[in-house]
Amino acid sequence: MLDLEIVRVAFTNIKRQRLRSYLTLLGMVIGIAAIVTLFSLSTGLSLAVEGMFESLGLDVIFVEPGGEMGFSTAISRTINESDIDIIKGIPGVEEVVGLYETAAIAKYKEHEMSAFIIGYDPNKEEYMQGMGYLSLGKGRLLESSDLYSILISESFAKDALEGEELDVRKKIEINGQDFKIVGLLDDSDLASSSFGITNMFWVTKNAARTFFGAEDPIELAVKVTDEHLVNSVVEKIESRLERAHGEKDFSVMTSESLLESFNTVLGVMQIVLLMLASISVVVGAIGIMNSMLMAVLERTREIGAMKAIGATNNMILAIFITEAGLLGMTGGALGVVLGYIVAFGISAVAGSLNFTLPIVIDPVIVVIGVSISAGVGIVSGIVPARRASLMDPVEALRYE
Amino acid sequence: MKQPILEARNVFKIYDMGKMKVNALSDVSFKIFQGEFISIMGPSGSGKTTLLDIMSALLRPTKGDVFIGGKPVSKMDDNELARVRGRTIGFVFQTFNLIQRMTALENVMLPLWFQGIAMGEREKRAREILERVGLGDRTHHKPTELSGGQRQRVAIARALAVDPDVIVADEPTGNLDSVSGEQILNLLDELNKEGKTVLMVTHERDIGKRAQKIIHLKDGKIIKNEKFGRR
Ligand SMILES: Nc1ncnc2c1ncn2[C@@H]1O[C@H](COP(=O)(O)OP(=O)(O)OP(=O)(O)O)[C@@H](O)[C@H]1O
Ligand SMILES: [Mg+2]
Repeated sequence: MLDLEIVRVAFTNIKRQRLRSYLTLLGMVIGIAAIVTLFSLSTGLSLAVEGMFESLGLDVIFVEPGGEMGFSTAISRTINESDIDIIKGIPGVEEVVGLYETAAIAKYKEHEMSAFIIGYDPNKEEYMQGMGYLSLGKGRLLESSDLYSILISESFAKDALEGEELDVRKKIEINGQDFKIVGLLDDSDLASSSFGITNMFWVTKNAARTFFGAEDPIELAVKVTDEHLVNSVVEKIESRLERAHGEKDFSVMTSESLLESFNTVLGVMQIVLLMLASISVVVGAIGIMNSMLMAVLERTREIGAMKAIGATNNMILAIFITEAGLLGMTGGALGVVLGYIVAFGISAVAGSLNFTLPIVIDPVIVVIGVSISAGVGIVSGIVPARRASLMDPVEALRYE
Repeated sequence: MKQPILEARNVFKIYDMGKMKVNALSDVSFKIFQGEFISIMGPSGSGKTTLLDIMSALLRPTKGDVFIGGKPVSKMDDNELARVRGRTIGFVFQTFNLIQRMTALENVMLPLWFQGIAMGEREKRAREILERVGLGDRTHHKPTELSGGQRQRVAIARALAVDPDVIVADEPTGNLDSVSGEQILNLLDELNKEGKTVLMVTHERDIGKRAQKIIHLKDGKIIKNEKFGRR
């Protein structure tokens, strides 16, 4: 009926649109931008977290206090020192590392800061390192005989105190006791920064027990001899610890199950945000419909003239629907660009907080974003285009 | 006997305004033959525009029928009417009715596009016709960048693009000064001499007299048929 010229004609019409009609595109731009930002951020987050769990290793099992819910970090002490030996007795277990954690207040000169104390057994240092903890940046790691020595992260050393840097050999007072910084940990990658928590003070297990009352470990990391044994070891840990505790007051997690629960949370978040973005797109659709209705009204005489010189109703319909589709597509394209700008911006901010969030421009998202908006534009254009196509030519030509 | 290009047979156009009925046309019959130049004259509200619109298949009569190339309009659906209009009628309006956002060239190409003529051919023909009406150097001007007389010449070029059987013009000089009005009328004269059939509405006798025939309308009825010899 009509050739591709229709796109050029539609483009000519859009180019001359008033500013008002571009403003009505805002809903579409924001909606599509939100969708693009959302997808690229959550993809980036997934990648980052996956990388983190991978660096923890697939042959590691975590035993933590609390019931089913995966991310409970409440400091409830339901794990016992004796659990270490119980788990060590399970075939396939290579080593069990206990983390003796508590919170404290640290003081340096006149500065006060909250500290997250983690005690570990220096004899098991290599296992900790295998799980991505304790990568040394400066100084040395702890030794079994150390009691008044601590490790802190490089970024904490640099940024925690206003106008002052902490460094190796400086002394910090924690709970009234002086400790000397012997090493700085490199926390430039995600796994070692533990989601941006930088105020971790590492001490020996003995120090944790002596000065901080952390008799029992808060959590255990279990290394198995072979990745394939993970599931059977998990089952045995569950049954043996439950027998020892008399109830299931702990939870056992693997890198894989952690990743799964993370992805579940992420999925729910995505759905909620997607619904919010859809509302924006609906607002955008109404905007396009409104702007097209105005355009049809403004161009009534033109429509009459086009019909007089031989345009059929269907041609008029096609012209206006194409225009609406192109308008939607313009909004979508702007939205995709804006969406990526926001995503890269957030990624840059996260990067400055030591959280590497990779953003990749995904052609599939670009195509989907642009086609959704074109589709929405077309649908919103149906009513105005029909109104145009059904106009009586004589009345249209007489329209003032 | 030759077949007329356009023929109105006992045409009525009644506008039903609820409380009252307006008889815009009452029992109008007339024929237009190939190569004729006919003017329709009459006071304001006498039904000139209505008759022109009905003759050019833009408006359906309430009663009676119009034949275009022998085919009755009453038997055609809206799509067929659009097609017939697009091929056999070339419209020229008092207010030009060009598409403001398009250049002169694009405006002239538009009816060819509606006829499904290929892009290259469209452009070639449109250029030739703009040349013919003396606007070869204004092809890329938008209507707002042209004078009234030039706009009307673009409109005539647009009407000529599909090489229609009849040019219908509703007060084509109504919005023009006398000099550019004269140029437009001369152009219509020339086209008629080249064989185009022209049907023109006017209310100025001087302009009407350029035709070979004047149809006088009053209150929707033909009250007089005036004939002049070929000038
Ligand atoms: N859509 C309409 N509804 C009702 N009445 C109409 C309509 N269109 C035209 N009329 C009436 O029909 C009559 C003829 O109108 P028409 O426009 O044909 O007159 P005209 O001779 O062209 O007048 P003018 O010289 O002012 O252009 C007028 O009385 C007008 O009011
Ligand atoms: Mg009139």
